[in-house]
Amino acid sequence: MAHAVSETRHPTTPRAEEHDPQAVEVVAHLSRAQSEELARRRRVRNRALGLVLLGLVALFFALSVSRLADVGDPQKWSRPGAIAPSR
Amino acid sequence: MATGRGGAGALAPDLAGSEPRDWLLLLKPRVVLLVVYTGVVGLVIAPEPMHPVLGAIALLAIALGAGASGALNMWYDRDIDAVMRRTAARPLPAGRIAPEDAAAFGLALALFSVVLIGLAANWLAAVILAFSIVFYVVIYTMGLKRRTAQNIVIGGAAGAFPPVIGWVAATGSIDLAPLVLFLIVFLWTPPHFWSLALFAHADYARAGVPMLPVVAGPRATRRQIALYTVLVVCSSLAPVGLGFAGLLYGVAAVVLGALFLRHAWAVLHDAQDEAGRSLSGDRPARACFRFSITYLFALFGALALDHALGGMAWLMP
Repeated sequence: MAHAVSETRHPTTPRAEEHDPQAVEVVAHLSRAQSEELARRRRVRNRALGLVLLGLVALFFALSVSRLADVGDPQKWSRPGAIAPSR
Repeated sequence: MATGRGGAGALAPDLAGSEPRDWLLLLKPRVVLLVVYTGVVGLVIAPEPMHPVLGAIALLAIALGAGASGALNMWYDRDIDAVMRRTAARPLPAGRIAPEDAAAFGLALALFSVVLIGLAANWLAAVILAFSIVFYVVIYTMGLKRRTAQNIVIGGAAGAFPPVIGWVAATGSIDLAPLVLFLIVFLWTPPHFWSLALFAHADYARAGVPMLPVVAGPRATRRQIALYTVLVVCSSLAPVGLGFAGLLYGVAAVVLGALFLRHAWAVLHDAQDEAGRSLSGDRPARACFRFSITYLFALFGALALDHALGGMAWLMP
């Protein structure tokens, strides 16, 4: 996804003595509507990625809790040296 | 422009980038739906109940594994997808997703799905899921698809694994019942895809994919559709014979089988010219393709329902 953004940056050709490799100059070769469309897409992607990350947190929480519930009554297997039964 | 959205703000494909919808399309959601459905049935008819949340996570892993296979398939087939009318608008040939991004996404998702089902269910289910992904991507997509007209016969095995994975996720072992479900889906695949190939053969020919209608002609394809339909209908009766399905499933299998055979008969006797080309615009093949999807959904639904009602036998007077 990142390649789309990086290609919007076209540093102008500076004179040799002024060249600063750290400088990133965004040339305004996109129209206002195109810039807005690009920003909209970036926002949608960021939100989707945020939702995916939240979903992963919820998924592993549910997995852990259900795994604990699935091993049954700990008193039946919990003794020194024992481990929880698994399928 | 490929995305077709944005109006005056439309961007060139190399600048437009993707939208979340494109990544979803990369997973072949309609195929995933069928895969998950057969996986659910395998899980539901298993003799050992599974924790509902762990069962749901196992199904999610099956869905993600199938989606990963689809993404890797689209990555590898992007060249032929671009020349086929049916697939030219997919995110890769349309330029909305870069090939290397699709490959990385598919690989990461495949790895994640295998680990996830291993953690939620057991590692035997994880091994079978991993094998099914490798089978689909390496053996079918990279090995068979462009080389032999039997591509979807052998490759069909990849789509037949989900009921086995569902069963193994619940029980931790392989039994005869899931293998019968595997056989049904395996035998169902050829008439399903060859019906599609009959009316889309020009697309496959343009892309150089040796589907049966392209290589052996439509007449031979119709005969093979009929043969495999007989085989799948016979195999669909095996659950009753082997005692893991009852009367409800048996009646459904007979009725659905009769309808499927009628469609295959119509395909076989479609009006055709001397070369075997359809004179009806392949109408029977289109109908057979549509019905084959209904057939599998209804057959597996009847099996799950039969199992649920059998499980409630104590409610009967």
